[in-house]
Amino acid sequence: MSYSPKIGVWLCECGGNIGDVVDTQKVMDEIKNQVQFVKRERYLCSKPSIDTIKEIIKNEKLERIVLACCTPKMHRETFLKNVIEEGINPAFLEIVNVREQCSWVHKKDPEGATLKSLDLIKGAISRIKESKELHTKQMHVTQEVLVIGGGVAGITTSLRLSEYGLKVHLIEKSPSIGGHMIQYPKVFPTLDCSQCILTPKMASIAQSSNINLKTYSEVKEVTGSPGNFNVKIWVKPRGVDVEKCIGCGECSRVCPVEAPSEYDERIGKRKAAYIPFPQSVPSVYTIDFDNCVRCGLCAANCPREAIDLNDEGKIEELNVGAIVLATGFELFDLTNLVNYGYGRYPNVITSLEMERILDVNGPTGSQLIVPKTGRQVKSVVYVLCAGSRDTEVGQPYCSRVCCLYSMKQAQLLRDRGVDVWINYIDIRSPGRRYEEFYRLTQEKGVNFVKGKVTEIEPNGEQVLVRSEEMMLNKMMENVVDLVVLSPPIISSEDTAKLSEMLKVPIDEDKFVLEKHPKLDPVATKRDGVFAAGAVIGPKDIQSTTAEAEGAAMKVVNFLGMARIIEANKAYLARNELCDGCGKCKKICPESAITIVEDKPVFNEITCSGCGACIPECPQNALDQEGLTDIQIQTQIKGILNDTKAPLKIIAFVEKEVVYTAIDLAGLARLSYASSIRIIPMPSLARIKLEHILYAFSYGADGVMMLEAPIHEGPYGNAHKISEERAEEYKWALEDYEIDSSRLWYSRVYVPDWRKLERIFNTFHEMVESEDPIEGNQRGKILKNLLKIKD
Amino acid sequence: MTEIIFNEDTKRFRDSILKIGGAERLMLCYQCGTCTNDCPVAKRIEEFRPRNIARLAMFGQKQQLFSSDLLWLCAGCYTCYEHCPQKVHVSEIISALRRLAFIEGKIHPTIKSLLTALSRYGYIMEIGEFENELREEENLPPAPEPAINEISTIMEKTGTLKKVGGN
Ligand SMILES: Cc1cc2nc3c(=O)[nH]c(=O)nc-3n(C[C@H](O)[C@H](O)[C@H](O)COP(=O)(O)OP(=O)(O)OC[C@H]3O[C@@H](n4cnc5c(N)ncnc54)[C@H](O)[C@@H]3O)c2cc1C
Ligand code: SF4
Ligand code: SF4
Ligand code: SF4
Repeated sequence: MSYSPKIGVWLCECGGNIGDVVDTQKVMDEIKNQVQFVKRERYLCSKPSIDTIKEIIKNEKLERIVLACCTPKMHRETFLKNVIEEGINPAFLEIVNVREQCSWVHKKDPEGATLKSLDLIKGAISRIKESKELHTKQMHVTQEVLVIGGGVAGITTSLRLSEYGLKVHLIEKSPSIGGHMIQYPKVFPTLDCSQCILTPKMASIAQSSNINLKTYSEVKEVTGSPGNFNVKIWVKPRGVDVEKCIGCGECSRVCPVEAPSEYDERIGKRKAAYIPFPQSVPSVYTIDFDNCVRCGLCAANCPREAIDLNDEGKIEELNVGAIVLATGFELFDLTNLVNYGYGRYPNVITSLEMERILDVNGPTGSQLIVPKTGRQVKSVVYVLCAGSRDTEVGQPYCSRVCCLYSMKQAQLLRDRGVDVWINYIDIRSPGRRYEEFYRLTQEKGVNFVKGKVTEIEPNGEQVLVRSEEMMLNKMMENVVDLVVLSPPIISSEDTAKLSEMLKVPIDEDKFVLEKHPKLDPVATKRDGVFAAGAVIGPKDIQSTTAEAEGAAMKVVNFLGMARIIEANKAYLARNELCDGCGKCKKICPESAITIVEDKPVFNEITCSGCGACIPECPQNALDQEGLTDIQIQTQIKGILNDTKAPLKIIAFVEKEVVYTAIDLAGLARLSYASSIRIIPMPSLARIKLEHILYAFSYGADGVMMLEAPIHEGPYGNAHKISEERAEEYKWALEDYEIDSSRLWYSRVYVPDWRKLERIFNTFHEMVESEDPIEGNQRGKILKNLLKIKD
Repeated sequence: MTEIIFNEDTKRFRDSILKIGGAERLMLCYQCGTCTNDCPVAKRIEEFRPRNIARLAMFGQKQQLFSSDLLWLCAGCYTCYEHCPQKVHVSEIISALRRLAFIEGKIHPTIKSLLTALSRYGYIMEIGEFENELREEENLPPAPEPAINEISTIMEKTGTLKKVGGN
């Protein structure tokens, strides 16, 4: 090596925690000649010690620092901050864990612990010699956000983002925002007026100068990458210039055509020139070209000349940094459930239709009647789980809100003297104030019948509803005026299409998959794309709003933070070798790679640094910042060269989940073989066959790959890949006459830390029982490796 | 009213049901009552509740299941099989229970007489001249000669004959 940097090594005794087991003097003596400076401290993390480190860096002009102490998860950040103050680049600090991994677990084997500490420090020294400076980067991120869907979720997120000062483009496919919530007269559990609480928010959307509201519009195309998406919006032909229209309604008054009103669930009618409901936002009319007869009356009567019957719609282009999906839900088509006769019997309706009937401004003019026959309604049966929790014909999941909204409607009906039965399988009312709401419903005299409705048939002008009355073990036949079905809440076709466009995976149930169902519930699997509300699964308004607030926060965080890019990315290190085969693109679990002009281009925001693409490249063209192949190789070499340990095992471990488990094993003072030498990795998908071969050629007797569970930890998506590779590597080892049992692969969960003792010892004993690997065999492997390199 | 009892026997009994093909989904029953309400037998016989049979089976209540005619009342129409939203398939649970009952020799007298007839005539009833005349009226050929020997050999070797009291 031409240049050898000045390296300083500190060894901490941690009171007696390290020093009582590890012979620190011996370690110091052994490495003295390899580096510029060695020092031992009683407590390295204490203020005086840290000050000394800083002093010495200055006085001795040290360039790279190795600290042998406790787990980096304890004090790395503190040490890092301080050495950076002395002008040391973050890449030039290595922490060697000689407490959790040595003294605490090899108490009964001080000699082994000492040898192991020494080896680990040697490994760090040779690795740090190969380290290159690392710099976090600034990245351009467009400070604008696209919100798709103007229901309560999209409205809430947009308002919050605009308050924060970000430019928001809110895209709604129908003529007005408001979503499902604006169709309800009252909302559970407080029975407050839904329109009274939502309308002011809708008005704020219209007024906010930061919000570009595009109704009657859809997203057509999304390209680009997180932080910098290019979006094409299809503004559908509306026939009315939204800038000119003053919402006077002249057009509607003169329009001769009537069509079913979507807002009224097709019970009521509207004109072809229409506004969905009086409080629509924007307060702008729309021409429904599917029904328009082009008589031209509206255009002739519009005082603002806002109407253009030849409107063809237009495409608008946007550039945004982040996207929020808030496209909500749809209801399952109940004509699929033939036994309920929906669509055939006039007095069988959906819960959403009932919402409209219960509205004082609804299509029946506040009368409680069967819309199609006009017959007065004095008795109602609610059919819960009408298709939900049904693995046979409906949806397997629970739709979560139907128990509650049915109770809401039942209360409103009881207040008007109607007899109500609710047929249920289980009543689900968890959530704050919800059980109380159930009790109130009982108090109001609603009859709860345990027994799913299985059949409905006409009975004169009424219907006969059959179920079991389980509590009494009897069959029940109930003749009533109206049946209300609660259909499954399902994800829409639109959402499926958008998910493809946005490269956001959906789950089996077609709802958007969360990045992590518990720990990151409003982020999607794609960076820069978030989701809120019923698009991630059935839920009530309260949870929807909470998610919408959360999504706004995530966006702010993303747009602010994403500008700083960690220096841990994969990159095309040897451009000339790459033949553009695209294998790296295929394997990347984060979809961070695109192939441009036959070369991979890495999206540095999306790349998690899992390293999965690097071993995949058949041309050996890729490498990783801060964890280069040469660093890994020299670390292995440093650990194994000239060691006096009788048996040596290199354990590559995933650095978040598994490493933590190993620390916990230390904390619990478990005891395992001191042959185990740990090298942390992002995901084990980073490991190449050559790393394993180097280990064997430099003297390892066994190699372990301890991976975290799939989807756990920051590199979770790559953990499946390592499993497949480990299998290949085992086969490959046989080619080198190394028994495949010398390569161990398993997954470790954090709570598994107790098992580690057994895992390590089992592997140690197994390796020990084998005949040793001959020196010339190791030499052959090395020769072979070097040949491959040439 | 018989009490519900839990012990090692009830546990073992439940496990033996679950092992029988078709009955594996027993534990998924969420007691919605669809099976009962759609069952043609339940409409006529108050004690017969497929849902209750599933429930008793879940709790391994062999005593109660075997001590009456209940299991043998199912018409095997498969309505419950078709309608169950959880795919529990009560009809299959009942078949499984019948099998277990049969092994213990707890066989309904009607079934016994049917099986005895089978071993004797090769059919579950004797086919005589009268029956064949009826067939002729419907343009059907006379009933084929039954393989009485084979049937009774099978029934003997499987121990079926003994269980129904034949020899
Ligand atoms: C009958 C019924 C009664 C209910 N009652 C209550 C209650 O009383 N209390 C309560 O807490 N919850 C209630 N809920 C649940 C409540 O409706 C939901 O929690 C809430 O509507 C979810 O809001 P959202 O914004 O996620 O979805 P939505 O309300 O569905 O809004 C989605 C919006 O996105 C738009 N959109 C869809 N696709 C696109 C696209 N491709 N491009 C652009 N825009 C698109 C839609 O037009 C819509 O405006 C009830 C549900 C039902 C079915
Ligand atoms: S919320 Fe109630 S009615 Fe709706 S699917 Fe769940 S259990 Fe059935
Ligand atoms: S796998 Fe390697 S050779 Fe193939 S495109 Fe990627 S970098 Fe180039
Ligand atoms: S595989 Fe991992 S390291 Fe490679 S580009 Fe994808 S995320 Fe980055």
